[in-house]
Amino acid sequence: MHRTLAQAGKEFAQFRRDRLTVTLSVVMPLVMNLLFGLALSLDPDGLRLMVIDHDQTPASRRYVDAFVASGKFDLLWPESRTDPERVLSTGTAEAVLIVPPFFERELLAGRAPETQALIDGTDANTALVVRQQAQAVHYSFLLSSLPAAARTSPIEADVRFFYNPGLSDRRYFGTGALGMVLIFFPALLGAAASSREIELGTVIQPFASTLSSLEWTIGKAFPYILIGIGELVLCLCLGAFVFEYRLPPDPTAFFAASVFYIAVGVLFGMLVGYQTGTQAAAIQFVLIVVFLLSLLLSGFLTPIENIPAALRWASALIPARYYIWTVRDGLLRGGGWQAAWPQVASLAALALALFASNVVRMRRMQFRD
Amino acid sequence: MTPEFVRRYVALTRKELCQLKRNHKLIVQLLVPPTVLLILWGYALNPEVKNLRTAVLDYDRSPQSRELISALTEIEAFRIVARPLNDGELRRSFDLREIEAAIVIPPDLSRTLARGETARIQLLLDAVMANSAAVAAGYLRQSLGAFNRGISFEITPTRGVAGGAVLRTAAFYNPGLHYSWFYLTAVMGIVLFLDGSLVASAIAVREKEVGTMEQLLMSPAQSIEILLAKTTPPLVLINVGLLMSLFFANTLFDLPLRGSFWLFAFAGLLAAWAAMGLGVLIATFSSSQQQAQFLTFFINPPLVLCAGAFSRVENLPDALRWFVVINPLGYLVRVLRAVAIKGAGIADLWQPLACLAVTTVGLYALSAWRFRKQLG
Repeated sequence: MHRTLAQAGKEFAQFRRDRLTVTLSVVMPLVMNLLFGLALSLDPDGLRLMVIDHDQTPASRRYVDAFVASGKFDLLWPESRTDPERVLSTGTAEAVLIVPPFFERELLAGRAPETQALIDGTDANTALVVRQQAQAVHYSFLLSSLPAAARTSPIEADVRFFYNPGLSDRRYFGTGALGMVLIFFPALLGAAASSREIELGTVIQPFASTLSSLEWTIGKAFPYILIGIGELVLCLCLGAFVFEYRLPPDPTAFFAASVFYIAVGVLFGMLVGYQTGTQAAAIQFVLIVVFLLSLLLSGFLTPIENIPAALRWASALIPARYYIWTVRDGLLRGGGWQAAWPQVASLAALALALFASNVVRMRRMQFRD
Repeated sequence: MTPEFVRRYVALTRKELCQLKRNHKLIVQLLVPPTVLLILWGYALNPEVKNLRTAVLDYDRSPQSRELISALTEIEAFRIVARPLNDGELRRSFDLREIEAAIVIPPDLSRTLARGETARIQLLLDAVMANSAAVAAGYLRQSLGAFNRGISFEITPTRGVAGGAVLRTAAFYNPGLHYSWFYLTAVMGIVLFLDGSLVASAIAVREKEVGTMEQLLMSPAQSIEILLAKTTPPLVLINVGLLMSLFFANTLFDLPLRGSFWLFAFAGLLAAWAAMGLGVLIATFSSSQQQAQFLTFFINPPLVLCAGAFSRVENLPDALRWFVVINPLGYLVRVLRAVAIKGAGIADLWQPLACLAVTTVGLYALSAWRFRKQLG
């Protein structure tokens, strides 16, 4: 116990003296959290819609006005002789709405005229949203042109959005960003700490002392886990304002998951540091592997269920997957242990496994020669 | 350009090539990850809304309600996983996060419909993932609209007197809505750019660390020549990597190359150059590999996040919009997408290409100036 504390104290003193690292571990998590939470949004605002109205009648103008009124589209008007396809290929507009000649006459005659929306399909998600919104506007136009008595439809739906009634993308990515930050920086710190010992050769000292590899691992990881918890608190304070983080009524599950998650980060980083042996290589590895795998396979950006089965098994080993789920459940849905316990348990298991491999690895190094 | 310049450039490049030839690690590092990342991104990222776990609570249990439910859930977006019997059970499924969507049919649906009045059903959606919830609601409304029109015709066939126009939609360039194409074109640009900046900064820093800077200083070569020669071999390698990933994207994900191959390669070359300029610039500010890495790490995430890689750049908040204007990676991604997917030519793309060229020249000039200051 005494020896573990001494080791932790030494580790912390070393961390404190390195001004650059201290600044990086305080400022960067906040910056990254902000950046990842704010820069990502799948909600297409201000879609550029070019309107080519060949009819130019009151009815066609009312039709076009419905698109303006929906507030989802920024309307553009063509210069003379605009080729709709060219408008899309240059990216001037993301969709082109074409109202045919005789639109009004056919509408009044009861012969269903055909309007057309050409949508740039490069970004499939946006294209899908454009299609849905255009159809919705189209039907609301049709409904409004019916006589008042016929306007009600047989079945109407009340749509209720739970947990995020404003459909705010910022809340979704803001919570995910917390998960990205809290694996990345603890892993970097852990990797730098253990690879430094190897690079400088100071790893010999614990080999020669009475420190057991268990005490060494605890003593080394503990200060960085504390620093990670400090980063969590900072990010929570910032996120309370920017991303509407709200602590759940029972935050213990969220906090337990956070501690395990940060520990996973630090312990994994330490393992990487032992393996690579140089600080530059360890940092590079963490940058690429931890960052990319967490970004792609954790459900941070898109649902895990959409990953093909052959690759999905790999995401079971990504701690960010469990943590990001727990963060969203806690901070957005106000959930506690009831639904989150399997996720917290998985994180605990990962932390334990990494801790054990750290201890074994250190012991093996100790008795190698 | 004097022949003297060319002679020196060739000599210096030859020296760099010799160094590169012995550096197998770098060659592997530049050619393998682009492909691996491409495959990962292509498969892992998919925002499609499908198989939402859906509960159906049908209090009516009539033929009509069953017809309605099958009409609402026939598309791939919904998968019925629970049929709770009352509100309490439904609530419990939501609380345990077993379901993401629910359809609730009131007990009087068929009677209300028979009376010719409006019946109200409830659609409940877990909206934590805002985009999926919005798209799912759109699907449900669409299916409901189609169902309603079916009923309307049964009851009052004369209803369509003034109404009845049809909106035909067509997704150009990507009628099958392949979600991966958007991400594949992005990852090609990102990898090219990150590789370029990392390699260039590593090369320039190593020269400093090892102390061979003095030798270069004593040679008759100008700083710009040294810079050009140093960056030529990796530049070529990185572009080979880009074309390799284009090949894999085409065979694995059917990503088309509708535009000119040469335009695609040219944009890559231009951007790789910009990236190397950035890398050298970073190197001039750092004295060790590690510092260069940290600096790169400061600069890269904003570059990637503000490049329109994950969603269109217009979705960025206003505070970050200015960054798009000076981001060469953003222009690159835009050009690669337009050439590959839309088949756009130089006439369509002169604007982003010109911007890319300007940022490239700007970065290169800045780094050459900093580099010279260090040499002098």
